[in-house]
Amino acid sequence: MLRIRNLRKTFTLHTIDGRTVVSLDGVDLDVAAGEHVALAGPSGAGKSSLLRCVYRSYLPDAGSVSLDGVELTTLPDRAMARLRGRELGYVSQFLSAPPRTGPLEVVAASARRRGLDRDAAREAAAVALRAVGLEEALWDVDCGVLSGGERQRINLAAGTVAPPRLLLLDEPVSALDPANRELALSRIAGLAASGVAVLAVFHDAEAISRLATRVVELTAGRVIRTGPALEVAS
Amino acid sequence: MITELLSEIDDSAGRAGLLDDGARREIRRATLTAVCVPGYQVPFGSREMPVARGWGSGGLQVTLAVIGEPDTVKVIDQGDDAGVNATNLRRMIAGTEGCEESTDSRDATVIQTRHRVPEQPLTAEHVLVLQVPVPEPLRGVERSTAECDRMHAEGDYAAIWVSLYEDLVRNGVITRSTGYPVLVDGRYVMATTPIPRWDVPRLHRSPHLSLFGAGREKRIYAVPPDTDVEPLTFDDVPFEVEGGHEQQCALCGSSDTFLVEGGGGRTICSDTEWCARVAEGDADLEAHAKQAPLHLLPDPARRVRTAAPVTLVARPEPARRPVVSAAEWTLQVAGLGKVHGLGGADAVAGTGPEHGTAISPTTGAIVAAWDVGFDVAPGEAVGLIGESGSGKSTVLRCLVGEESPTAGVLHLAAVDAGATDLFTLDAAARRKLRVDVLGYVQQDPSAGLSLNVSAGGNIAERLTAAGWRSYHAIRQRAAELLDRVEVPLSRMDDPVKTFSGGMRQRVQIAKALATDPALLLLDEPTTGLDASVAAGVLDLLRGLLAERDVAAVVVSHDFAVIETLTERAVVMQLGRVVEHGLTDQLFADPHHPYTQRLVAAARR
Amino acid sequence: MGYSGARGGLEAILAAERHVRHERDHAPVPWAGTEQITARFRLAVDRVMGEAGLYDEPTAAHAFRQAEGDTLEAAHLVRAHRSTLPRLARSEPVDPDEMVVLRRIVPAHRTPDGPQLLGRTSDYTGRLLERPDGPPSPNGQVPAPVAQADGERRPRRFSAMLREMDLLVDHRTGADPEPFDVTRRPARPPAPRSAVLASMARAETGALVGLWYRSILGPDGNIHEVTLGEVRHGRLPLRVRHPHTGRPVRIGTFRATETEALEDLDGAEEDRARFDLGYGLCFGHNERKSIAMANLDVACRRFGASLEQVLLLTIDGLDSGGFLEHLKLPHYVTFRSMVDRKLAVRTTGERVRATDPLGRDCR
Repeated sequence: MLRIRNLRKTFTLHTIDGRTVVSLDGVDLDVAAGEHVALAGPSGAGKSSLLRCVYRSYLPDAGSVSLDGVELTTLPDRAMARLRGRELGYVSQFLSAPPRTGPLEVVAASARRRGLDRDAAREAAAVALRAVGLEEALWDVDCGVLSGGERQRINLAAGTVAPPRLLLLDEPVSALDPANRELALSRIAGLAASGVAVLAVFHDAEAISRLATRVVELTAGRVIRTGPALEVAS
Repeated sequence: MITELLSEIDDSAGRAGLLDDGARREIRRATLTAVCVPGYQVPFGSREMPVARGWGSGGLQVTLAVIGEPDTVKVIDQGDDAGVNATNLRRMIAGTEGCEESTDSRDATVIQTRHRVPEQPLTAEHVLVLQVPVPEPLRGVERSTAECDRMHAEGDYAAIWVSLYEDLVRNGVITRSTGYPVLVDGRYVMATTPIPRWDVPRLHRSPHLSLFGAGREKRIYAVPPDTDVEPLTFDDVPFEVEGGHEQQCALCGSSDTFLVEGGGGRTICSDTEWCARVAEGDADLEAHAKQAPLHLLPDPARRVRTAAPVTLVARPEPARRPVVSAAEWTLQVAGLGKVHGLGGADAVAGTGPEHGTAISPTTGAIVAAWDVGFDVAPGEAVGLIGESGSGKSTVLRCLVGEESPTAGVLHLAAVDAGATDLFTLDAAARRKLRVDVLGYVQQDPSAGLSLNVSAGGNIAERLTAAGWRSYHAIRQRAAELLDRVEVPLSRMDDPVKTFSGGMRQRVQIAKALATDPALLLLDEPTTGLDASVAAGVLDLLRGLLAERDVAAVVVSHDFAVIETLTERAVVMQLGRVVEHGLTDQLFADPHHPYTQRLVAAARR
Repeated sequence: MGYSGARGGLEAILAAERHVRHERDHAPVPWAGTEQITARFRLAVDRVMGEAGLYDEPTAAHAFRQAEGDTLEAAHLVRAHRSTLPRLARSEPVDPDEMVVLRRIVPAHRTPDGPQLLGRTSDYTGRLLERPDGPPSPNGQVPAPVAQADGERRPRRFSAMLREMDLLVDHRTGADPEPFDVTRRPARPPAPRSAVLASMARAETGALVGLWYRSILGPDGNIHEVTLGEVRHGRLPLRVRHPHTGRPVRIGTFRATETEALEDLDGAEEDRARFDLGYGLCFGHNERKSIAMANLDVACRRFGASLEQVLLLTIDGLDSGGFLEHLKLPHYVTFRSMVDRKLAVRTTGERVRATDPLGRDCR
């Protein structure tokens, strides 16, 4: 489904005398439907950059990213904007919600962007919030006053509600206590099981070993190892 | 030779009437034009008359232009033949024109009048000449005569409708007394001179010709026989004539005439001729009763209930505009350029980011924008970002129609299915688009709102411009919109000048959305507001854009605004597009040095 | 005639007219002949000619006498008289450079080309009231005649020198070639400059001076730093084309006052390296009017639309005076209609808003 070939990304920092920083140095990677591929490697290896290049928050310098044969690197902006949402989702580490909105509204808005009508969106949002263990009493409370852990769960619920075909996860459970982490991980595990392709970055090996069907290890912007989960993690 | 000629003129001066023949012809021509274009104020070379401007000099000129020896003239003032002004004019006309004079309307062929239409039913044999002190019906709502002229030319009468709306909101009735504005033949709004409202229905589809002469203002207008004359009022607010309490004339006993104070607490007919004839039994009472506007007497039960709060039904889901696959875009602009100063396209060379200047080295012209192009899909928001002077606001003003570009094409899917280049349309056509196709939110709410008008009235302006004519429907719609933008309904009838900056901006947004435009143009919508207020307005806009499927162009220097509201953005510097892309990509991975500087500044 | 009660008004009018005629024309004092008026009330006659827009001293003098010295009323009489006359010809354009000066001052220059000629003015005479009890005795001192040399009679304009030095903004665009005839076509904004100038030339002098003062010291602030380049009073020739030969023929002369005013341009978009030149010209000797006119000409160009509307539509004395006077006419029908609405507002019984009992805050 996702096919990445020879992907390169270098940043030119015009504000600091045009200095360049190489982030991705020729990455090849494939993710199939229902597969959960985890990216591993030291910080600065290019894991998040790779996710962002796929989502096109970063514009790659060279190489190809194709989703079901559609080349994303050269797709017109507007087509790319449309593709995001139903086809391609990105879940970051932190929730960014507009002020004075509650969790249910945030998650339902996400579901609506993914094509559900108003009622179906609210229903799906309720299911998603329950799945990540957010008490119903908090559903209409301003997200801004909730704890970091609660916000991250809302973020995950919003990212995984009515899931797109390919989901990019960037450290989505980093701030959770063990019990909620457990719920969150099973929520993510359920995605791949339902046929969603997942490309994820986790900061701990335990999550990787629990979820990934394959692990790709990056160092200095290159893939140095790839293999079944347990193999690489150990 | 010349001396001879001059002495000849001196001789002729004694016998020529009050006007020379050239002037008569000129005034007749203007009068004919007025008859051909009912309700339109025809300018004419008004001459000075032996009566003061304001004493009927316009009416006198019209009368002199149309009258001849076989005619019989009657002159009334306030309905009275005996008033000094009427007497003076009558002896002047009859004395110089050699026509008959009469006080009997049935004998008269030309009736010159001030402030009244005679009670005697008029026929096709009559020409009614009304003296007009102030011919401009829009005077009270617009001070600039040039702007009034434009409003008439474009049939843009929203301002006067808003004044009626505001009147009802404040007073529960329309308080305009005399000179009530009417719509003539469905086209021009016309002032009925100061005749009382009682007489206004008498102009509607009347058998006689009515001519209006304004000497001081140099205007002639007309209502030809059998022409529609409709007093301006909302469909659900009845037009009211004077009266309503049981009164009758102390002299003749009539109760279906216009009455005035007669001294000693009595009321008497203002039309002295009619009054005397009724008393003498020389009047066709039945014919008169038929045309008396008794059905328009005030009925307090039918008046609008101002204090009654507007009740909101559950907020309806905004209609999702069907996304037509054929229309890939709502707006498409290409090659847009604007050069202030000399040289046009030739001034462009040597300007732009690579030259570090927007000023043409050859002509000194300012190249505010050049070769700017983008399109916006239905339901999509596109940002235009850059520092002040980058040309982004120029681009927006060209899109709105406030500036005309030097180059480029602009298409809207809503106009001719996108076939027409809007830049080729004239200013009037562009203004019309702003009524229902474009919503425009300006940085400064006071530029987009009338501050002395209530919040509801500001929304009514857009609705009436779009043809809404039901007072209650307008209030209902305004209430829904204000509720949506979180303006408390208790403030709906307060003038916008009493609102805070954030509230004003919310009202402006509600106004822009009033007619469900396909395209929303936002020019620095939160820039003038305090940070916390700006966040609320931004949040509102984000919600509105998400729920409405409206296409939007957002201009801002603030990356946070663009990031919140748009998926795609265009970065402008010194009049040129230097980078475009997905908004989060521009923010996370800016390529152009200028964009990086903007991002760096936004992150500080 | 079925109805006959309408004669009382006429009698009242005739009585009023008799009153005026009797006390004006039969006052037990010597009759003021037309020459008396043109000679002794020269400036009043000039003002009437200017505001009437018709140059003929005897006609203006007749009107002045008939109007009992009310210049506005006199201008009205002259203009209404003009309405009865056919227009036989149009004059050839008048070239103000042909003016033979009777008076000329150049405040902006110490020694301009040509003379600083005070001529007939009481500018420098102490305003001391003289109360002669009869005609002053002839003193034999006849003023020296105006210089005869052409350079003295038709001095080069001060502005010509400035133009040579490239110190003037050039507004001679040719965009307004045919003068706008405000007596035949109503001028409404936007109108060409000639329409505004013509309106000012016929304006009521007091209205123009009031507007000028408001502009320079009032809330408008449209004029700020004015220097007069030149003020002239003199004679200009009037020519028409001969009906048979088609050649221009001089049919007489008229006196006019001309002013050129220099405005220091200081707007952000304006040419700070040059001056703007405002122009004023009116019939007769009326320096106040022509100076105000020249200043307002510049102000109108610089500050545009709202001032243009004021100059075109509100400074004519017949318009403003007539409209004011019409308030004396009966208005009881309209007033009754207004009262009806006041009562209607009350009977709605729902005062929505507290209103200021003193009626303030109308907007």
